[in-house]
Amino acid sequence: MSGTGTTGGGDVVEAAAAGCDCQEAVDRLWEYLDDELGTEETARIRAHLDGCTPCISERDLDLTIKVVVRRGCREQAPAELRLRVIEQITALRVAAGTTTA
Amino acid sequence: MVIDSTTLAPPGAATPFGALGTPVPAARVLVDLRAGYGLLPTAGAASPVASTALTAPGATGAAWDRALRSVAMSQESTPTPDAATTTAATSGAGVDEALAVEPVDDEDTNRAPATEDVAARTDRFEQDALQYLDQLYGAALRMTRNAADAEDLVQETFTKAFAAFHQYRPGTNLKAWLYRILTNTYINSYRKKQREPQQSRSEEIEDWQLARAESHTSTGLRSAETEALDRLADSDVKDALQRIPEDFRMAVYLADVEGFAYKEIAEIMGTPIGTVMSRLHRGRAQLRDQLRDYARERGLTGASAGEAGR
Repeated sequence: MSGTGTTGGGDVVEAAAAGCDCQEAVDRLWEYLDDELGTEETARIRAHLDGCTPCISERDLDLTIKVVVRRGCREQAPAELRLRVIEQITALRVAAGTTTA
Repeated sequence: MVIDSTTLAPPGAATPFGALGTPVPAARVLVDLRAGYGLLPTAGAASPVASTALTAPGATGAAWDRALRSVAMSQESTPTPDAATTTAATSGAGVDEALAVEPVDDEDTNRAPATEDVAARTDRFEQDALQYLDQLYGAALRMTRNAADAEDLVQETFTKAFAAFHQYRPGTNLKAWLYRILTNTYINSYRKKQREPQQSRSEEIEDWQLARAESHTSTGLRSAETEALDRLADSDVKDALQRIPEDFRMAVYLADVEGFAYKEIAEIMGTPIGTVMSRLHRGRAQLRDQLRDYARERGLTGASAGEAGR
């Protein structure tokens, strides 16, 4: 696995060798962030990310998109809607013939 | 209101009554019913299929209640409780007889198994399902893209969910079940009204991978972009989402806002997991382009460098 071209030295090469290459890391980044990979693949990607600055910045960007979407889409249903739904359920329950008050 | 049990079944699960087909011995049905009654809710009383109560998935709650009461009564009045069920086992008619028994007064059912009547089921529905109102409304807004339709869609979703609540199996993913009803309702009732141009549905995977690999170079630009996107207003993010195709948008929404697993999204959207992944990849790529445009318009991108002097 390791042992190829470590002349350039440095943590980057070693980490990349222990994990995967940039192509694979980037290809599977969303699955990694979505927690959809198995433990072994997750470890491989993480090992690569630990030593590859460009891939870390990719990850940060993708993670930010996830966070921003989540943050931006929080909604609160109007109070009237909640009332409407409860009224509807009550009506259905009455229509169902329950006599318990 | 007729609910298609196959479309409303909990994702990945057969309906609780799927095993109660005609060939099943009546006694087993009743015994199973008693044994599992604390767990299995009664069928929705709003269902129209009273006469086929034990053969159809959508049996009426009243019918089930009667069947149970008849069993309970048999146990009370007969020294050998098994006699009633044994008799029922010998002929399918036993089921009809059980169902034909009129409901008895409430006072007499005290010893009945812990039955869940409509009132109890209503309470459980309000307690368990209503907590997702805000989330479903948020999803409905992303689908319909206007508040009035979103409210109607959510109300219709809850109405259907309540009517079909007997098909929901406790312990399974209620949120995913509700989302599936929401999605089906939207597709069946609202999608037609939307004037969204149908974008290319070809879902090749290669293009986003290529684009991604090529852009994987400049760390500095990535960091600046990340910072810019992080500063975008919520309204811009929502607008950006609205601009990507509906299927992509919903996949992204379900994954990023609701945190559903790919498998759950596949069940909610009724597509293979591969399609979900493709939609997510493409949707996020398009979303990123949109967000980048908004960031540029707002002067967030490169503001520190280009416009620092102003």
